[in-house]
Amino acid sequence: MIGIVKIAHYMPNTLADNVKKEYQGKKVDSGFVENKIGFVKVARKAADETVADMCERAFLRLKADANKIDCICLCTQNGDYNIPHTSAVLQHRLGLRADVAAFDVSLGCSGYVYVLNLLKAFMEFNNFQKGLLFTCDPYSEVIDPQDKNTDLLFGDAATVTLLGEEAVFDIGKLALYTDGGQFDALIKQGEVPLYMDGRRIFNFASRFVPEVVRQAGESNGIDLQGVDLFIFHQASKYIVENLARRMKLDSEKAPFLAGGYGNTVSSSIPLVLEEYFHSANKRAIVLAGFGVGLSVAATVIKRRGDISK
Amino acid sequence: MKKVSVNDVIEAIENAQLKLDVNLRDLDPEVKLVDQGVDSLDMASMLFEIEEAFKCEAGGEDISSGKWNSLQNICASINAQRE
Repeated sequence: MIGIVKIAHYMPNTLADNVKKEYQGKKVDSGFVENKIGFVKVARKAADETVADMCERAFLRLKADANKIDCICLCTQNGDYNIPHTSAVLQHRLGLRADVAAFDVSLGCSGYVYVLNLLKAFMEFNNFQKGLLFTCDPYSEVIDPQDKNTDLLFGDAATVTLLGEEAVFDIGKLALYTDGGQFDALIKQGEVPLYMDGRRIFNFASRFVPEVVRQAGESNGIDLQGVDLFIFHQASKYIVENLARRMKLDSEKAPFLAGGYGNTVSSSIPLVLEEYFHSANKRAIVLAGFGVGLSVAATVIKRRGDISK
Repeated sequence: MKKVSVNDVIEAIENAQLKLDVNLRDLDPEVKLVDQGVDSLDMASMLFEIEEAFKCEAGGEDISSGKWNSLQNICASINAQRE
């Protein structure tokens, strides 16, 4: 059975200090940034750094044998080109075999959870042994630096997850929710910078993420009391804490770890999962992504060798 | 239907166990919440809890037009939707 073997990431060296920022000549409220939004710094890629560059740097840290990779999928909404798909560029850059499956998936903050499941099913159906799931969505390319609603939130990063038979985690079934009627709550149209209606996203997440997480628990046969860790998309400290409060979770079970680099869209969940990857006591973990769409995707991953759950 | 009071609104928010920077019972119900130390995120989560508790809709436009900007106005808006 295909599961998660290991994770690596690349984070740009430039970290923009949110506390020192000014918008329209007015300094930001440092208390609001630190205690509410939670992103004290946001990672910013170099102007000439591409998605393929960032993914390649993540791959080099993964230390995987390129020749053994059977498929790659890049989850991004801001690939290097409209045409072609960036995963084709990566196939060449990483020195992968010509017979690999290489494709992009256009999803935002729910993307990692979606594509984990997609790639697992795709690999098992085709008898692929090893696959790479990349996430890289540099929103710094699409935000207005003078729009504090988005500039204080989003950070750039890339992650790569190796999927294969000799896995640490098994991947569970999905629970999903999409409300396309709210497609314009987080939208990038033409040359207009990214627009975000934070309140609509907050309401959507508060209302539907807890319900979808409960469904994920049910469909995977696990009582949420038995879950060791809830990795919510790191949209902001406030949203993560709000979800924990609404689901009556201890804050240690629903960590916010992105304060030093920002909301990295589809990279946010694998970045946190990487932190806990070798924490043997974190056996059953809920992953819950939400945002663009508006959409929610949740699943449960279970550490192998655990017969109690 | 019984009219919603300022106390009902405060109780609903307290029941939700929001961690606010202010004590709602210390605030002047007639003064804008943002002018009494309630920031935009706390405002969003307060209004969400009010929507859930009173089955009403605190639309974005209504907030900017002032219908939801003080405890007194919130009560009036909830009651108006219930009529």
